[in-house]
Amino acid sequence: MKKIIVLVLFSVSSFSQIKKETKIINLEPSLRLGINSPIYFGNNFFAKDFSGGVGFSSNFTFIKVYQTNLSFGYEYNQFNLKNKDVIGNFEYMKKHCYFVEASQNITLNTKFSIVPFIQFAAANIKFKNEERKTIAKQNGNEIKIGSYLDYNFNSTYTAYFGINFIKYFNRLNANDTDQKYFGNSNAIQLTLGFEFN
Amino acid sequence: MKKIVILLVFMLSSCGIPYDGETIINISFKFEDKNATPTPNIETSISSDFNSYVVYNVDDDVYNKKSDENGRVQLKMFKPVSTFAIHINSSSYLSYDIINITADTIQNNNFDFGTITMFKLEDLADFNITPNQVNSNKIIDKIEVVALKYKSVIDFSTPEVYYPTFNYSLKKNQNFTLKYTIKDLNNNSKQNFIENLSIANNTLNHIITY
Repeated sequence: MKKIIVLVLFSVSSFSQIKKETKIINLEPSLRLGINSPIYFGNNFFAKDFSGGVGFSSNFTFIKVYQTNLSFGYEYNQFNLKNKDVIGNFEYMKKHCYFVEASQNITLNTKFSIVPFIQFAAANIKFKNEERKTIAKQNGNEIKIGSYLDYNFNSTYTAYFGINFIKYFNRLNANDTDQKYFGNSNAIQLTLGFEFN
Repeated sequence: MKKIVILLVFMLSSCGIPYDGETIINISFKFEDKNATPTPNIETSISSDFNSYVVYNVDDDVYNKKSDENGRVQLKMFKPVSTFAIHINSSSYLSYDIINITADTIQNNNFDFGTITMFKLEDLADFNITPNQVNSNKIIDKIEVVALKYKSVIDFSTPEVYYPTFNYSLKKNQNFTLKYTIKDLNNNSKQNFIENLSIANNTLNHIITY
């Protein structure tokens, strides 16, 4: 009987240790704040008819499942309309993105790590006139795939540089040519900022 | 209190977004003068009219375009969410206001307004119809003038009650057709009439006796 109790206690103890080592969910909050600059390309509305676009990025990681960080965030960009003949004499366009992100840390050494990520975003676009009045708005989506390169100053502060591809898509009520031109775009986005752990 | 309510309604309505950014439409016009020659530099502007207190809203500057050397205007725009108006202006010709165009008018994301004839004041002569009622049981039910004519306001709304128009501005020196219907109130019967007329350089007066 004594042997059985010892065996059971050992088993429970061992199981507890295994469970601790392979903990599925970890709370690992961190916050990324930075500036971004998307560079649109191709034959589409964003690439041909707008300029500028330097904006703000934020990203809050709150949980780690297995080795995957789960985050949500907000991104803001403002673009000036350079071709006022194409869809209206708008002054500028504001893009608000609300996204969820999955990423993984790959440590290179004590200072550097790379963090590949994928994001899915709801993109809310507002077209403004000279008086800053919203004349029209669109609700599209974005998929972003890329990576951060992190430089760790210490366990709390990290500087990062990010590069990612953006695919914007929106199913518009328009003819095929207009849908292709106004409802899709591609960009390479660069980000620079700090992460607070 | 009433003024405050009206002001609040006005302010709330002003906050509305006048164009549907998810829908792209194409509107086209062709402008010609009285001799069917294409007229360039005719300015077309669009204003949304989503508020009953504001006939022409402040967004006229968002959609405006001038006709090209072929007299054509092709305007790509977000679809207005409510009724809208099109203003046609030129320093050389008389202007038009096309009002109360509903979003439902635009089918398949395209709308061609066809050819609009641009007139100068000296191109036009008045055509006046004088009703001469001799039978009190009869009324003029409908009048139609088939001619090259000018009307400064073209209203797309359907009026609840039809009132015949008796005064027209017609292009000078043309043959045209006057169509009208006389209704007998005794038995509700209708009789259609067609008259072929000509207008020269001066005012033409015509009497319809019924």
